[in-house]
Amino acid sequence: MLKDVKQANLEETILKTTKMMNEYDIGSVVVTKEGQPVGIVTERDILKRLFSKRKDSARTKLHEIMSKPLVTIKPHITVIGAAQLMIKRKVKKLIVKNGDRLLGIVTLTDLIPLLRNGGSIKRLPLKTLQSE
Amino acid sequence: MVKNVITLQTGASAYDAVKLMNKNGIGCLVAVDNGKVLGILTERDLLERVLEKCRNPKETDVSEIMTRQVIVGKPDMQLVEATKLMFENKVKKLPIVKGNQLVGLVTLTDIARVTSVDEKTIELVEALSNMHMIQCKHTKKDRWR
Repeated sequence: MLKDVKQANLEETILKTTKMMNEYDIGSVVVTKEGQPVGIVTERDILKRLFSKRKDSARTKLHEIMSKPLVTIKPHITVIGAAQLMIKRKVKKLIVKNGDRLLGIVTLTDLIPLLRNGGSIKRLPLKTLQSE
Repeated sequence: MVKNVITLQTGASAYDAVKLMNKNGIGCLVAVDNGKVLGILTERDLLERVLEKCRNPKETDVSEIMTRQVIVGKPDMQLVEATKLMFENKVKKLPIVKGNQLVGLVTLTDIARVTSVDEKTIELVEALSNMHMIQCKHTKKDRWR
């Protein structure tokens, strides 16, 4: 359930980050400053804040377009709770943290098979589901 | 189902597509010709096929970068079937076709919404689901390839 989340420093360029996202087939990257997560950059952010504004992807840094603050959750949140939070906050990815420790990322795509799979799984905490 | 037709002229650029997607807060556009599905363009396509390759978005035609092999669903399909189809084909957007005409679009986000809330909200969401299309107006000379 919890997948390792790719991270990049806030001074990294959008071009290099886009290449990494395409290579790993991922839709987002957590942005860090001195090792601590400070924001997130998604495909939508890149298109909205760089592409459409004709900024140079080789010169624009992640901190210039990232979304912040991060929407984070604790691992004991249930599957249904995570899905409802995504809908409420209009995000499709949630960063899972335990204190200061970054545990991973859970996306809407991850949750859908669990939401449809009867009633009991919906109410399980994320941390009890097997990590990929 | 509410139909929300967004149109682009033939020869629309990747830049035009991004503007349209940003303006409407959507993650994909379906290219059609007289209602028939020609292709689909997603955020990932734009990042892989334009940005990473450092192509000029104003000089890149949508027809060059869209996916032409489109996985589609039928209007009478059950949500479970649609979800299974999307997961099997690793897609998150499913244009819905009746005959050879585009009639709607279902996304994984739509499915998540209806499966995580109560019955009353499910009915409301289903009634308000949107469709987004690129309508290609073409002359005999200009055709999508």
